[in-house]
Amino acid sequence: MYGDLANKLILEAKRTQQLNHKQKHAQLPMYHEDLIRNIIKEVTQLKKNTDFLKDQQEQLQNQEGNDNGLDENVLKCQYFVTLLCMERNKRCLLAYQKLRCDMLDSLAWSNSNSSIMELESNDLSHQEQEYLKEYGELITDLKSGEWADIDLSGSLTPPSDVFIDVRVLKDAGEIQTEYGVFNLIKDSQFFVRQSDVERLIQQGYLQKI
Amino acid sequence: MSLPKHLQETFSPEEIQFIVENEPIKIFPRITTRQRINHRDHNNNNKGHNDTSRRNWKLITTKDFPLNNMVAMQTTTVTLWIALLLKQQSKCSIIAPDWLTIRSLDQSIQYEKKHEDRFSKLPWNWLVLAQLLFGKAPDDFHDPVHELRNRIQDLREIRQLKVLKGLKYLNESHLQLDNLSVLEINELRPFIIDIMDKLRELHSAAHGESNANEADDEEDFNFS
Repeated sequence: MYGDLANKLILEAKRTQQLNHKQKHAQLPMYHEDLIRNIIKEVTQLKKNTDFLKDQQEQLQNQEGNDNGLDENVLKCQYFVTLLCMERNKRCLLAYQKLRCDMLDSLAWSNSNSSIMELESNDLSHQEQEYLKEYGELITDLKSGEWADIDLSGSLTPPSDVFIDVRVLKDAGEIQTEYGVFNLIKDSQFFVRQSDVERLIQQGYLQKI
Repeated sequence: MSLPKHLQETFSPEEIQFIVENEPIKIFPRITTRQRINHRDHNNNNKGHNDTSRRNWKLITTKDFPLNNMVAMQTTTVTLWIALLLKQQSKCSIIAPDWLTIRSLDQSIQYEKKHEDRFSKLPWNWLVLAQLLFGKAPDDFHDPVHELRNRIQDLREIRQLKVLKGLKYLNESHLQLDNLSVLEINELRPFIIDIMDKLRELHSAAHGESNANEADDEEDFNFS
């Protein structure tokens, strides 16, 4: 049947959704290029059918006379069902793409620019890579505009402690932040202001709040 | 999306705590910040010294007057998050609210047991506040903390039972939950709202025609 390929795609989308339900960091599986190409092929096939049906209807109308009421009804039905099939395929394609876009968005917000490039770029379709880049640019636009005082992509957990203990997880040598210099030697501990190190915690250099 | 999935329709417990931390609370300061009015500061030198040593609190989300007027061991009311910060440095002790004593907690427990059909009148933030104060200011209570903890736990369990009973009455139109605290509501929110949404959907699908008619009537009324 016509909708079956699209159904397979949706199942795939569902699986991705569940995969990311458990993990905190979004992980996108490969873009299903073959499947999508097949679905689009199916849609073009359907389009051809409608063209054919249209031609037939015109022929019928030209014949005039005779009792072609029945044939006309049959044609109408065929036309309508073909349309529904196309509609169905479109919906499935859009749902799949929207899910991936949502995940790309959250990626772009959560740890912008640094880790995206290395992780995902080969799993994304060409257009998605483009989209991700442009969305990232939109975010930086927003952040550098009117609300530059607030770090919009910063942590969403409300601050409850001013000073915290952090332990260094990865050796990173001397790191310059906006507020000063840290010498990040593995397994050393610092007692620092939380707002200074939030970024480093996000990037995985520091641990523990 | 810009907001992670788990925050999209409810608050996280941290956010609830953040909201509660904006409430006023009474403290005993252990420092004095009120400036002494010097009747005779005849020498300029002294005055200059005073100016440099004086550092006023300047806050934009809460009143800074009580903070600049603290006198040691005189109660004042400040915002909870400031109180907790001062407490961390042992510059104040926090006065537990009236309801957080063994006596009044016992009364609440009695009330809960006597009235099966309602929740007792605890403040909307009782659970969060109790947790915060037990964690950060356990030495400021007059009653032993473990007793208070017990009472709070009892209350929580009794109320949870009542909540479970109340869930039987989920319906498509409304629910009344007087005196349910913010944390208790927050942990129920995703569940209750989902179920009620589904019920409402089913209901309105079944009675869709009547609704449509009503809408039509209203429209007619508006036009005429």
